[in-house]
Amino acid sequence: MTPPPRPPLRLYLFPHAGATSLLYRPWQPLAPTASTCTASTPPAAAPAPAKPP
Amino acid sequence: MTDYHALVKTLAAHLTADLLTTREHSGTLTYATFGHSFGATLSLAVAAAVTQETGQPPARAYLSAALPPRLQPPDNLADLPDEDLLAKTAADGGTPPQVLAHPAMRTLLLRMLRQDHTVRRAFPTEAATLQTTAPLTLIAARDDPYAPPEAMRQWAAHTTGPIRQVTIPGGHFAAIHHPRDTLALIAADTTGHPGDGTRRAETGEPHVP
Repeated sequence: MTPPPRPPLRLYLFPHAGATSLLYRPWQPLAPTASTCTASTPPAAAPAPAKPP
Repeated sequence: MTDYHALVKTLAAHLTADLLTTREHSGTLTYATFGHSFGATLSLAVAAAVTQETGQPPARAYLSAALPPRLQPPDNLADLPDEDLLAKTAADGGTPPQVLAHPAMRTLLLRMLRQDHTVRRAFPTEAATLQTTAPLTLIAARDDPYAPPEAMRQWAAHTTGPIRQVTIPGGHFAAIHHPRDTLALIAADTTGHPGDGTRRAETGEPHVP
């Protein structure tokens, strides 16, 4: 029996000292629902997952 | 922003709003946090604040290349002269050379470094009692001089949930420099599938305190 699909995961990324959200730019194509949080960048860098049909 | 509590509160408010908006779109939602070095302690503090606000802890918190707060040495880097702070940053290897070579980018980098290192001064005291119920995955690089794998295990005191420790090859920035592998670790925890990472990682036994 196939297990039910898991809900979408929203991943919040926190960089090291001195880094900006640019640090995680290479991650975005690999994790489209990821969003970066820094002191100067609120977590809104990635679009919300699409509403299921 | 250089005040630890104010920063945690601000980021937690943004994250909570984002989480609730996303939940409206998707109907249901799970979230996880990943913090690297300075970002590790900050991410767990924000996750704890979001949990308090929403009642929903993260599905898992990923802590990379960081000592637990009470083991962190005093951070006086914000007091260094510009040249010394830039030299230390260049030697650590986490900042692209193009950023260090560009005058305007250097100015921005210095401002952000001083801001973050000032916040970090509060970690050993203010974050020492940080507690979560979330499962933790500790990502430790074998040759990280700042956060050796053995010391990272002591994050176990900060959760009542299960702990998984993964040791990866490389130094302090290994997890950041190999996003495909790091995201594969996350996929393995959150989807049950190992992803397509190619570097070898050693996984510790699950531990339930």
